[in-house]
Amino acid sequence: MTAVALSRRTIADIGEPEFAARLARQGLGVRIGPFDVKLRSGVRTIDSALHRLYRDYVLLDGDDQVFNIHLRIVSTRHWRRPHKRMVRLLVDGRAPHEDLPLDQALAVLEWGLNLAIALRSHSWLMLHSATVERHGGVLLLPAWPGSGKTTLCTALVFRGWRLFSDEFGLVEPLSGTVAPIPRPMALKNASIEVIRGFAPGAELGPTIPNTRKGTIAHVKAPTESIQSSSKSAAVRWIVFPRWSAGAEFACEEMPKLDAFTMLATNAFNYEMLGESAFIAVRRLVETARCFRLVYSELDRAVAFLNGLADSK
Amino acid sequence: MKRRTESASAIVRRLLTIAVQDPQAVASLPERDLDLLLRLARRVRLLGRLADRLERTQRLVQLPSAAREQLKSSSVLVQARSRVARWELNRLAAVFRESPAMRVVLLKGCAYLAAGMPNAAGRLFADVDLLFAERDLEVAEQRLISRGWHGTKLDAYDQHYYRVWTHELPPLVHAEREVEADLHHNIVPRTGRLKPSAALLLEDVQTIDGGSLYRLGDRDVVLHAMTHLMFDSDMADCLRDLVDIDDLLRHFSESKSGFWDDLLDRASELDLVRPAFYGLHFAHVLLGTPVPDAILRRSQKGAPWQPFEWVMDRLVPLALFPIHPDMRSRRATVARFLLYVRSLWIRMPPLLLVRHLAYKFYARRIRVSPGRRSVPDAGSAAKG
Amino acid sequence: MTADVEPSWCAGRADDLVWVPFGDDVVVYHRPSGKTHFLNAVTALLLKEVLLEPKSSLEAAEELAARQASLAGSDFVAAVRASLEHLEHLGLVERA
Repeated sequence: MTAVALSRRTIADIGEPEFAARLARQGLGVRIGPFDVKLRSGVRTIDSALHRLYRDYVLLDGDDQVFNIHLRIVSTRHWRRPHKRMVRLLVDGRAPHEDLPLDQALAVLEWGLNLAIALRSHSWLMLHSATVERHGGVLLLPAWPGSGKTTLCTALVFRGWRLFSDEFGLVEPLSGTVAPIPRPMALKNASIEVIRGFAPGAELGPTIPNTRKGTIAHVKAPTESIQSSSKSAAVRWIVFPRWSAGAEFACEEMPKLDAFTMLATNAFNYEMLGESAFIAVRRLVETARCFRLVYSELDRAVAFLNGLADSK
Repeated sequence: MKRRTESASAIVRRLLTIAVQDPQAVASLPERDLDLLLRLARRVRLLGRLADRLERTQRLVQLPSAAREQLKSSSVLVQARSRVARWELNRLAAVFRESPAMRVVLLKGCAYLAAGMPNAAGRLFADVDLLFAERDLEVAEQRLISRGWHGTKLDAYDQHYYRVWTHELPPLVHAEREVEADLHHNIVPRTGRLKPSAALLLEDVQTIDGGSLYRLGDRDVVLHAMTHLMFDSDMADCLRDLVDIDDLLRHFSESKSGFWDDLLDRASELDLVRPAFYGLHFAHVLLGTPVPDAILRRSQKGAPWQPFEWVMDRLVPLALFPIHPDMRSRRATVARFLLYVRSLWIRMPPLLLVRHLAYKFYARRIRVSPGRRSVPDAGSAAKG
Repeated sequence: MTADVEPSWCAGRADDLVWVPFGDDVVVYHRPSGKTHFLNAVTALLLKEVLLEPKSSLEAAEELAARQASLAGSDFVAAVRASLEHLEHLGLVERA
């Protein structure tokens, strides 16, 4: 990928009306980390939120280039209840899942991007992990039910860490370096208020109730994270977090074998990559420090991780 | 050179034909065309093949990184599926090793893979298709079930439909792996209109690399590919299957003199002159297979009534080639529907057809049809 | 194959496996199947050394026991037999 020149226009450089017009008609090109994405949207109600959340991303003018992903959302009506308006995700003209209520359009678009990335980025080993960077080293926070990885990731990002992703660890298999894809971070339910309290400066998109994951709100990725999104880094710490209400704080370095097992199981495409995934995961757990973390207070977890990164 | 008046389907055909006939030229396409081609190739499962051909001719490095990444990703997927396929064949061979009298004949994709045929490189493998002598079929099914295979999750209707109405065995899947194994007694459905002799097919089988697995004879491999595409599918987005036919025809005709006539002789023997006609015709017209004129003339004996041939000439390309992802095409939608109806008609006797369609109509209305899945996570989608 | 004949097993080709030790345990990648397996010390020894030549479960058990300077009791032999059948199921060993 060619380096992003500072003189490239961002979405902020085109006003919201032009942004909406492009989304509606020929599509809007935007660079998100290593992916050049073409977006089309027939849902006007989310233009404003999208413009705010994506204003710092590099704008890709024109059609004369290859895009990694073509994504489209359209509004339709429910086939049995025509008064009910729905949103449909289309990836290359096909709907990968059922239609959802129109008021979830922003969430559908974000999930759609995740889906498209997960389905066709097998030149990377894809971990299901939050990924952040400090002092040139990457911290992986692999996802587990109850891990609270997105909340923790968001908190870290507002305490000096650079956001790579709240969902994916894109590991280049040969070198082991991770590629950033900073995107809006999707908070669920109680975490929304927690983060509002923890990081009053965070910019949030609209609150979307009643999705299959509960109530969702997206936190805009910090400008600096987006502007540095061509800079990869190596993994220095792997922390398997578990949030548990009222739990006592505990963090211990873990046996490499356990880290290997947990990381291999965690990766979306471990089996698909075969031997190169085996070797890449082995190298990751051998060269990084691996921890298990249990916490209930966000501050405590953040302080510990900051300390870990700041120490030598 | 701008083609302002080129229709969507013409663009689709032009780009995919280049990708199949002259893959190296893909590296010189304008980026806008390359972008569209990648999407089209993915839809018809030819992206892996394109990646393979570009890599072999060292053209991959000439492409923009967004193209390289998608092609590389596709290669990874293809290689993973090939590895899975080879292992599945390894496990199947182990199961049947104890009964060498029961010949296991590989069909289609896994045969191409095991025998190293030219269309295996870059091919996206899916299921395993096996042919057995009729008398061995039940024993084979029992043997697999005793070694850890089981039926897939079909509902009661579909299980019944399979066994009683098509007289085929429902597919089997191993408990720990996700590859389907389909057991066949012939290369066509039992209830279909074509009746090639299974005995003749089995007479001509050959071992693969002197191992314990077999494949059909050369002519039968080709005829099966033609029959499968033209008489056992609705052809929607099945360009890849025509590419298989093109590859196989070129491969065998180049390595064996007299192959073309042998092929037509065999087609007569097996009562497959209609599929042979269609296969040669469409491979020649759509993909430029160098079929000798004399052979095209000879194959005309298997041609349908002229008006049917005219209709098929219009419908088949609209189904084989994908619909442009950003533009709807009513013609293509109609063509695909007609060919879908044709595929049911040729596979089932009329009474069965009516019952089948009626069931499917009601099934869609009273329960969520199998095609509609609920919203997946990125995680389960990537793994699934 | 008659029921009387005691089967013997043999490890697959050496370069089918990529070995990574983690202390006493081993993680292996099996190239033909693309699967990753976690082996304890005993199964690792079976695959890496004991089964380089075909052996029955009794022979394998005796050799393993000898390495620990002990004898192979019937429980141990049964356990080794179970391991061998499991390894066969995974495709890591074959009946010779």
